[in-house]
Amino acid sequence: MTKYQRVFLIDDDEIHNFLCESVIRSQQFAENVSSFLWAEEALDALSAVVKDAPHKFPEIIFLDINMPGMDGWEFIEEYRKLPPELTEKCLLFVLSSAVDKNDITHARNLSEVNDFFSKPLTSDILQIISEQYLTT
Amino acid sequence: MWVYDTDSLRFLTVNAAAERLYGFTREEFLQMTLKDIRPADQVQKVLKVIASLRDTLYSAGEWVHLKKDGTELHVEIVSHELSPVMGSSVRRLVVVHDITARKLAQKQLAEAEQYAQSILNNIVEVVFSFNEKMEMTYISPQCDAILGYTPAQFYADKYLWFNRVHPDDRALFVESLPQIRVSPEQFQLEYRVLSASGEEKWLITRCTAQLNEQGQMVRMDGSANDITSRKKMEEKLSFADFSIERASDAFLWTRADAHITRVNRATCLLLGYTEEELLQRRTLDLVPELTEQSWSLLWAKFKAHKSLEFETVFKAKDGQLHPVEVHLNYFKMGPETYSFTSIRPIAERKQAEAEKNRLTEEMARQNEHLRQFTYIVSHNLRAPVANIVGLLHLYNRKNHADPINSLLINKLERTTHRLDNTLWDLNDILTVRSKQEQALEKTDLVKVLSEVQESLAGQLVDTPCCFSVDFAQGQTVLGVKGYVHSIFFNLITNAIKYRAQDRPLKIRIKTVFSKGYLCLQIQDNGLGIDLAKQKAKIFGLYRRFHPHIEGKGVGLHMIKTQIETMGGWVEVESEEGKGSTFKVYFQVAPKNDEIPESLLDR
Repeated sequence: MTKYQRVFLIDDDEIHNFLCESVIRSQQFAENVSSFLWAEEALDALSAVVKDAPHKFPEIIFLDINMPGMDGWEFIEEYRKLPPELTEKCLLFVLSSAVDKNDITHARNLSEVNDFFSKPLTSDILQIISEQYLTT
Repeated sequence: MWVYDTDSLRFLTVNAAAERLYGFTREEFLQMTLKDIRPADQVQKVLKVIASLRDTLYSAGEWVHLKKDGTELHVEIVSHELSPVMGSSVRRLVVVHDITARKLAQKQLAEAEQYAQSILNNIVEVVFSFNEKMEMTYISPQCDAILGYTPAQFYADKYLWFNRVHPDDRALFVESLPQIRVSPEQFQLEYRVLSASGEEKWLITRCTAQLNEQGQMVRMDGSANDITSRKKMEEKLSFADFSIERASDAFLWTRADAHITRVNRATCLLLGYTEEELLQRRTLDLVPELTEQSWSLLWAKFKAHKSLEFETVFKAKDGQLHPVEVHLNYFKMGPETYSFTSIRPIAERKQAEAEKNRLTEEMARQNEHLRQFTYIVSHNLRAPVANIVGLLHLYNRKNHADPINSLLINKLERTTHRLDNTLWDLNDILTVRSKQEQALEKTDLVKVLSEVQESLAGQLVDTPCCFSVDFAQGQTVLGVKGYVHSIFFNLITNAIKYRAQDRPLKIRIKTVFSKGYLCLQIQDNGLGIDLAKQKAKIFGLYRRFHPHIEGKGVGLHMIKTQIETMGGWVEVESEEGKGSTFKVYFQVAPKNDEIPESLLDR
């Protein structure tokens, strides 16, 4: 069920990135998956895409909140500054191990964030995403 | 005297005395009738008398006649009918007795009496008189207003006055009456009397005995005045005075010129001066921050507001300074203006406030710690667990030979290790935190540093490092040796880990006295951190700042927890690409010889 072209994973947790990649691949959820251990690096990559190949802007971003250096919230601040015609088409999901209610509410209140999911990423979550967003 | 005709009323003859008394000559009299020597309004009355049947000798009583000069003459008249003479009418001999002088004296006496009575009626005091048996012989009508008894009641019961004296004050009379009876001096007594309605009245009596030649009392005159309201006011005043004097708060009264006019006991106690000493002083002598100029400014403001409240410091006799809160109340008495000032020492309150603030801060800090800790712990414990759950999902249970399975096992192993490490880290941090009250001991920084360098010998061989060390300003701190070791260890390993690849690592270690603390500075020339972005997080738990370099984000958080547990704190200065300086502030032993004199008064 290949549905998406490009997915970005932003998480300092290497193992979780491996896990996400494996699930996405096994579900044939996306063609290309790029993992970033640092939000700064992901942002640099996005900026490069905007500049050189806007059509290669990811369709889905999975973002962790607790990260060294730039954290998830700060990434969203910067993400907001990217060209809206590109970010509008991109689905941004916060994927966190946090069970803090404030984090969940805060994430869902941000217009840039499409939804909040608790780790680990599973095939069920991918199912929900494809049902809710692909049709629209 | 004269003789007149009862029909014609003409004078028939007058004597020389009549001429002298009335001022008419004999010739003039003989031309006049009786009517001519009387005021017009009396003529009818005399005609009536003359027309009436009278005895031969008739005492006509007192009459008013007119002299020639028109003045009135008070006379007493007796007339006698003369023996009839043939062919003539009835004649009467009239003897006139001049009573003008007597009448005048009587009139003056009456006036004087009326005058005295008026005075007696109009004075507030009761005036009285007793005879030698101490029976009341006179009392002025005011007794009714004051005591509710009329003079008549006092005359009827001669001893009423004494019977109404308050039982507690009778002794006063028993004691002083014998003295009053034998002395010409005026005596004064203050005592209570019960009025007719049973009300208690305070009276002041002034009385003097009138003594005869033998020195015995014949009369005693005096006055009594109602002083109930004065007595009540005195009672109130003495009650207020007593309260002020015994109050635990210090009070002082000041004039506009800053002179102290009165103090209470608490003020003397607070400042260590006697009352006499304070009354010779001015507020400027007691409040060091006051000058002549600031006092007049203060007084002007005070005069406008009528009341002021502020905090200041009083200096006691022994030189001790007392932080106080003063409250000034403005009042005027005669031409002078005063401040009634209450003084409340607030040293304890200040101390308590400071202590409260410290505890509140400490609590807020602890709460914040706890909040962060819970958040981080939940995240960091949950992250590996989430991984384990996810990895197990991917495990191919149907085909154990699936090559992905061995990969997953490998990842599971790593995740489990991470979970284990996290638990150990948390255990370490909790151990430090739970030992808040750990006893501090003198710790030698030089000794601890050399131990740390020894334990890092392996890494220091791989990464050559140039140390420059300067402990000239002090090397002994109050601390927990294990924590000091951990601080050195973490800061040096961080410097090694985050060194710049393009230059040899240099670490400068020195101590500096600052704000009464010994500050340990560890400076490196490594990668540095962008503090503008990261300052708030740098000492946070599980915070990492450098991509591609292994780190757990525990070390700096650990240092912060440890130094705060030892009563100090840690600061950082850093510039990206140039290096970082960590400043760790340690408490120093109070009697440390290395502390410069100037820092001891902290």
